[in-house]
Amino acid sequence: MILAVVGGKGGVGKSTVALNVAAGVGGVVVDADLGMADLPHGPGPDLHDVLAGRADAIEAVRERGAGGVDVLPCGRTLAGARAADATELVEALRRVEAHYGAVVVDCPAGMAADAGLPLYAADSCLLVSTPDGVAVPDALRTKALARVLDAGVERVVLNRAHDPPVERVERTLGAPVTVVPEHEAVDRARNDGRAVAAVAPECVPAERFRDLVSGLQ
Amino acid sequence: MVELEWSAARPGGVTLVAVRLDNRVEAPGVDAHRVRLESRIDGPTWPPRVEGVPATPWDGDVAEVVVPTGQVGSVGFASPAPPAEPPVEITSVEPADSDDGTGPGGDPTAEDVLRVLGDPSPPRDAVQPATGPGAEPEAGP
Repeated sequence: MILAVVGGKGGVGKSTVALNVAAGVGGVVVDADLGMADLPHGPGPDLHDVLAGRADAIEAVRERGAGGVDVLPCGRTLAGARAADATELVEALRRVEAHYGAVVVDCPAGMAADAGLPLYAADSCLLVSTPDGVAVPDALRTKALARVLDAGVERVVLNRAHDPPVERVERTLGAPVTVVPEHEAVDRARNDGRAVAAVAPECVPAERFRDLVSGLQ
Repeated sequence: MVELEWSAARPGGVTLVAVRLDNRVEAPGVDAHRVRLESRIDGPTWPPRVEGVPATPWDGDVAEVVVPTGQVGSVGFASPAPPAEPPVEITSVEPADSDDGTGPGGDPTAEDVLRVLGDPSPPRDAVQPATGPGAEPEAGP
């Protein structure tokens, strides 16, 4: 399974959702934001190296590298982003899927090919938004892109939401909504590069991520 | 029969070839013709590029264009080598469906996604030039 975590707008919590879902399904989270990566990173080959033909996708996976979650990190340099051939991402994701099973792709914001190619490779996607008038229209545009590229929307995740208009968002985006409320445990987990369940397993966001994952399987 | 018309120019040391494929012919029951062309220029074929990806009709020195009956199709390319006469030749013409489109058709490829959505690479000017021993110049246009 290749699951793309997309949203259109930046800063809505795609990386948080991707890491937590990968932790829940026991899969590899791939940081596919070639220009502005933000999942945990360390020494060794990364996605830039894979897409430039300098490393194999499997050897770039850090097993239990992100707070216990397998991660294929992305480089941080502009030179690395420029040297990367984005079309190679499709084959890289398929290689990781063949080896590890479940792959969760943290996609970049926007509608350029680096957001489209993971959708092209993916079986389905999670649409991430915050419940506001800027992020939801961006999510709607991304949904149209996902439809063209044949990646069905599994669910919408509304992040940092307090009593959001769930029915209206479900109607607008045409998929069931999971609400992840703002919570200090989410911030703490993100700062530590870990899944929320590893930091505060009983909190509401951890419970919502569990529900989200059980709906996928 | 599809008629080939061409023109070639060589501004700035690069040969530019424009090709017209006139399919305004009587062909009852045939929606379109699939025309296969091959460059006769003794040098590399530089196809037009969209977002850095070669345009669909070209595969090496060969292009495949579907021209609806009663219409005129066009295709072009460049080469660093001097022009030949003719610069291209039709190697085959066969009946096709008019909705076959141009090029390989079928399901989109990763290259199609890149061509349509745009190359996400940062511009060359944003990247610090590599310096020091072992630094290699960046390849490609």
